[in-house]
Order: sequence, then structure tokens, then C-alpha cells
Amino acid sequence: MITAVRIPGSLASAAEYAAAGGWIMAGGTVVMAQVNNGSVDASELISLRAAGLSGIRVADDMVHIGATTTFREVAELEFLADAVRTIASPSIRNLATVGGNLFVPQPYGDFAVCLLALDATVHIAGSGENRAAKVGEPLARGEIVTGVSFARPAAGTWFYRKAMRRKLNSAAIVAVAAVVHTEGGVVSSARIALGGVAPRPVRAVSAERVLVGRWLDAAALDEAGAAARADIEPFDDAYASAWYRTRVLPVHLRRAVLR
Amino acid sequence: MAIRRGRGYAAVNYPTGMNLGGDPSQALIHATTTGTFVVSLSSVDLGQGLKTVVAQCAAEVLGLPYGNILVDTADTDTGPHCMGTFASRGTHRVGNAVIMAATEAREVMLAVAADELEVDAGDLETDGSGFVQVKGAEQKRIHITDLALAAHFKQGRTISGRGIFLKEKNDPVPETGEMDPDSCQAHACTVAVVDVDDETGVVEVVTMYNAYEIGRALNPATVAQQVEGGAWMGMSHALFEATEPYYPARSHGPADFSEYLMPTAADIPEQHSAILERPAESGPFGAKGIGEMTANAPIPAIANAIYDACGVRLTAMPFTPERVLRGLDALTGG
Amino acid sequence: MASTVVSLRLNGRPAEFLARPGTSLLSSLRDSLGLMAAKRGCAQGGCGTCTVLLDGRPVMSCLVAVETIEGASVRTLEGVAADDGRLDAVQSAFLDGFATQCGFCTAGMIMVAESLLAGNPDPSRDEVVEAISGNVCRCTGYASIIAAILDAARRKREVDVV
Repeated sequence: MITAVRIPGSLASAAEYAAAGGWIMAGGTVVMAQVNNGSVDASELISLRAAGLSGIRVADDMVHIGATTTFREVAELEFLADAVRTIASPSIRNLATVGGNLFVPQPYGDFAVCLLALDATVHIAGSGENRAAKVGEPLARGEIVTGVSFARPAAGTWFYRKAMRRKLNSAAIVAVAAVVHTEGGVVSSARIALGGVAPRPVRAVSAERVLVGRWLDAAALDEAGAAARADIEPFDDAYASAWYRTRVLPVHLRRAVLR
Repeated sequence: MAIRRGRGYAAVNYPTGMNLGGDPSQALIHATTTGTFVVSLSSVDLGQGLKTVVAQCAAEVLGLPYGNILVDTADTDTGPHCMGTFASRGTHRVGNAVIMAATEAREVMLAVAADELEVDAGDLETDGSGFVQVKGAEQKRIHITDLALAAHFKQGRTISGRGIFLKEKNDPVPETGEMDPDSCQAHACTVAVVDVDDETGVVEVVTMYNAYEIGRALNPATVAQQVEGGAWMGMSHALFEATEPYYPARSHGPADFSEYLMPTAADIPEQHSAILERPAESGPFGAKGIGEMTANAPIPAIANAIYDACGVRLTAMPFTPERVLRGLDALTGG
Repeated sequence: MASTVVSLRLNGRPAEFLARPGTSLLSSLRDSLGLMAAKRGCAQGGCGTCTVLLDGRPVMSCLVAVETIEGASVRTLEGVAADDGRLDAVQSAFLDGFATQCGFCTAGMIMVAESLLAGNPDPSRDEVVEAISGNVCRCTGYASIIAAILDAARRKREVDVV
């Protein structure tokens, strides 16, 4: 039963409440659903709405997104617009935040998959010192994500595809986010993140190893996709089975890159 | 890797009403002092448009504008009895009951007018815009508002009517099994065109063609809605919905509308619908009704289209991408 | 567990009400303010029947903790028609296009359409489809709703030209 909703006006104040055991809430799209069905353990909610954590800053090619920035705003970053529009629905995206998306389990959490592919830094504040971490690292009690930052990928190097059971507003069967550099058509580096195929976003390191030094073509991608099966821990859920996700992973990797 | 297109069809005969202990509905009509005719029912309009077609039936029989009819389905405690809104029975049973009630009310209405105009009731007609007038001498007329006021405050009469439609219980002939449990049957056929992605098993319904023979389309707009909405529901059952996705295991049953899959506006096919009318003797103005049947034919039509597209014969719903892929594997021995 | 006094600008007028901790905007609208157009379909953000406009943008009101939107502007279906009851272009288009059956999704659909057309007077069919992708309809199969929203856009453009 919720006994209070705190709306701290600063990060420091929010961190204090969090250290005291309050339940952090950004956009509310996950937490309020839990409140509505009575499954929130904590009795105090801490809304980050007024803590000054929203906004997008771009300087040189570094992008910094505040943790409470909504996906509606993130879609203004052109290269991410297509990816953002696969997340839930517009009425959810007007509320849901980048920070919150880091902590939802797969097959949700598509933006975390993007951030993993982008090698994003996750900025964390708490009662101790501020620190930087990578996507997927756990937080200590009382810590709050304040934002994420990453280098904007060069034109033509960013790839994203999310296979879903329906065309819009549906969770990932397989999500592929990748930054792939080529020189003269040969892959010089690849950073591939997968969603929907493990409890957390995963790096398809086996696929990356196959691709480096190869032409970026269907044959290489098929081989990379098959290799990527070593990197996943697929599960059954209401959307698809582990068998199915494993089976179509290479297809969606290929289609993500070759469109 | 290919997108394979296929076409399939299925047809359905759909009975109106039910048998059980007999299938009745009642209706009462009375005029207010200013000429609104209230149709009292216990029947429920869930959004299928029963109140609309009932008002149309009453208006048609009374010879009054649709706007003069007020349908009141407020209270099953106090309203005239109805078995309920199911078995695609609403238009047929309730429509017939309303026609009967309106027929009686019209007789009284004309009798009141006859007294006011000092003519024979048999010489009167309604003009459809609210007037009761003398045939061949339209300037001799009275408006329904004045007529209703006269009935209440001058003549001391109630302009009202009672109606009931009963389809009697029908038992089979023991020797032959012959029986007559329904009042009429509507017929439909759906042709579905699908694309099957043979690398992912994803089925997309591209187009659905629907032909429905329903006796009479009392309201063509709501009929078209029912056909399209039902076809969507059929497609949803065929390709998406499951409460036990791993049946007979009960695991991973959907817990919310994110997990309980239903196609969005982005997943709908193009639809083309044709309505045919062969009036049923027993129906209100010949209508047979068009209810649950609209979700039926699309499902086997889609199954047949999948078979046509890629040779996979699926017999368990939903026809998920996994089932299609496993079917393709079985065909290629893979 | 004291309630909070929340003030909003609701359908153009100031509104003030009590909210217990953790109450959603949807619950406040329906249970405290008597505004029943927004529906409680799932309380999980998955159906869209609770959609209202928050500072002009469509949101799932079941997922908004009402205490966190103190002072915001909220618009519901009850605030769409003119004060004299005249229906607006979206409402008229829905009616004329038979784009409703049971009506449960209708309030949410109309609010999404209001917001879409305010920012985009000439949306493509794809844009309409994306806008309503969070709104479940069980009855119509969506085609009549899409057509009604495109029709409403056309009606509004004609009025503006005149």
C-alpha cells in the first residue's frame, strides 16, 4: 500500500529518499502498472519528475540523454527515431523514460539494447560518489541513474530491427541493434546487441567475431547469425518460444543489416 | 527465402435464435403526450446496434421519423421480458416483437386521428415526416404532436401497443431426427489472401472478401461494421489470440493486453464486403440477423489460404509463425 | 497516509480534489471528479481506453500518479464538444462514419485524434495508424476509425480554409 509519493526537487533529495528504501519512479509506465495491480513492495514512491534529470545535449558527436527524458523527446534524435517508434505506443512513449527502460526485463527494454550496441555510458549518482557504468551493470541500493551518453554513430553504421508478433506496439521476438563499420565493404568493427533472446540485452560477440574482416553480405551475416546462437539464453513467453527465437535470430540479424 | 501468397475460402451457414425451452421476446410501445414513441425492452444493446434497428422497425411501421422513436432498454426488473442478446437472435426476435407492438400502436394512432379529422381511419395514411393525412387530400392532416396531445387530453386514449415473438420449442421427430430449431439461416463466404514469409513463418492477411446473405440489411452501415469487425476478430483468433500459448501446458498464459495478442490498426487487411438479401419469411422486414457469424468463416479461410501459399495444413489455432515454420520443416524433411 | 490536494487545469477550468497516495489520474477523473468518459480497461497501459491529453499530449491516465502532475493541463472527452453541446469535427466524423459500436474505446480514440490533428492537420493513413496503435478496439476492426479520423482532418481543413 502506497503511503506517500515524494516529488524531490533535486537529485540529492531523490538519492536520500532512495537510500531510505523508497521506490524510484520515472515515467510511471512500469511502476504505476505495478501499483495498480498491487505488486509494489515499497510503501513510498519517489517521482523523479522534478529532479532535473531530463533533456538531451549534443556536443560534437557526443549525445547525453537525461534519465527522465521521455521517448517522445528521444525520437527527435533522427538516427534513433525508427528504433524508438517500435517501443510500445505513442501514449506510452509520452511518459516512458530512458532511465526506466534500462531496468525492465527482456523482451521489453528495447532502448537498453540500443544503448548496449552504442557502448553507452550509464551515469549513476548515489549517497557516495557519482560513477559511470555500462549497460546491464546492477545498481547498489540508493543509487539513481542520472543519464546515459554515447557517441553518435557515423552515417550508415547504425542498424536496428525489432521483430514483433504484430507491426506496432509489441515486445521483441528478436531485436537487433548494431554499429558496424566497413572499409571498402569489409567489416572493420562490429558491435551487435540483441534483445528478446536473453533475460537482459546481450552482446552477440560470436557474431561480431565472424563478421570482422568479411564482406558485409548475406553469407557472412547468415554465418554470424548462426554463431550468435552461442551468445543467447532464450526463453519461452506469451509472444514466442525459445525454439522460435533461436530459429529466426539469424534471419533478423541479416535483415537488420541488409534491410 | 520468399514471401508466398495464397488464397483460401470458407463458407458458413448460421442459424438465428435458439431452441431450449422456446425463444420469446416482448416489446411495449407507448406515445408520450408530445408524440415521442417509447419502445420499452429488456433487451441489451452492447454496441451491436439493436436499439438502432429496433427504432427503425418502429418508425417504419408507425410511419413516423426515426427521431420520434425513443428506445428504452433500462431495466430487466421492470421491462417486458426478453430472453437476452445472444444466439444472433436480437434483430429477429425483438424486431418482430416491436413490429407487432408498433402495428397495434399505429391502429390506435390512426383511430385517434380519424376522430380528430372526422374521417374514416381507413382513409388515412402517414407521410413519414410526422403527419397523418387523408389519402388524396393531404391538406387535411394532423401532426403527431397535436394527435398525441388530443389523445391524452381530449379523447382520453393511450396510443400504445404490445408485442411478442415466440419461436416455440421444437423437439426432434424420434424416428427421423427431423427438427426445426431455428427460424432461418444466414449464409456467408470469406475469401482470404495471405502472404507467408517462409523464413519466419509470419502470416499476413492481405485482403479479405466477404459475402453475406442476411435476409435484409435493416441498417446497411451497421451491417458493414459487423462484417468488418467480425472479420478482424476472426483473423485475431486465427493468427494471434491464445490463453494457453503452450497448450496443454498452462504456462505463459498472457496476463495483460500486451501479452494477449490482438492485431493493431497496423495489422488489418483490406476488406471488401458484399451484402445479399433474400428476405426470410419469419424475419422483421425479412431480416435474419447478423451477429456472431462474422468471426467464423475468416478463420478456415485463412487456414486454407496458408495451405495454398505454402502447403502447410494447420488445424490448431492460433496459426503462429512457429507452427508455420514447423509445418514447413515437416514438408521439406528439415 | 494523508491525501494530497491536487490542482489541475481540467478541460479549461481549474479543478481541485483530494488524492490518496499513489492514485492514478484515471481514478481521480472517474472516482473523484465524475468524469466517466475515460475508461478503466486494464490499468496496465495496454488498452488505451483511459487515454486523455496531458499538456496536450495523449497519455495512459491509468499510469500517471496524479500527485506528480500538480498544475498540469488535462483534457478529457467531456471537454471536446463546445459549451453549447455542438460536436466537433472529430466527434461528428465518428458519428457519421459509424466508427463506434460498444463505445468502450471511443473516448481514447477521439482524444488521440484530437491531439494528432492539432499538431498535424493532414496526416497520412500510416500516421493515423501509428497514433492509435496503443488503443485496442474489439468491435470495429479499426478501418472505420481510421477513415473517421482522416475525414475529421479533411473537415477541419475545410473549415480553416473558409
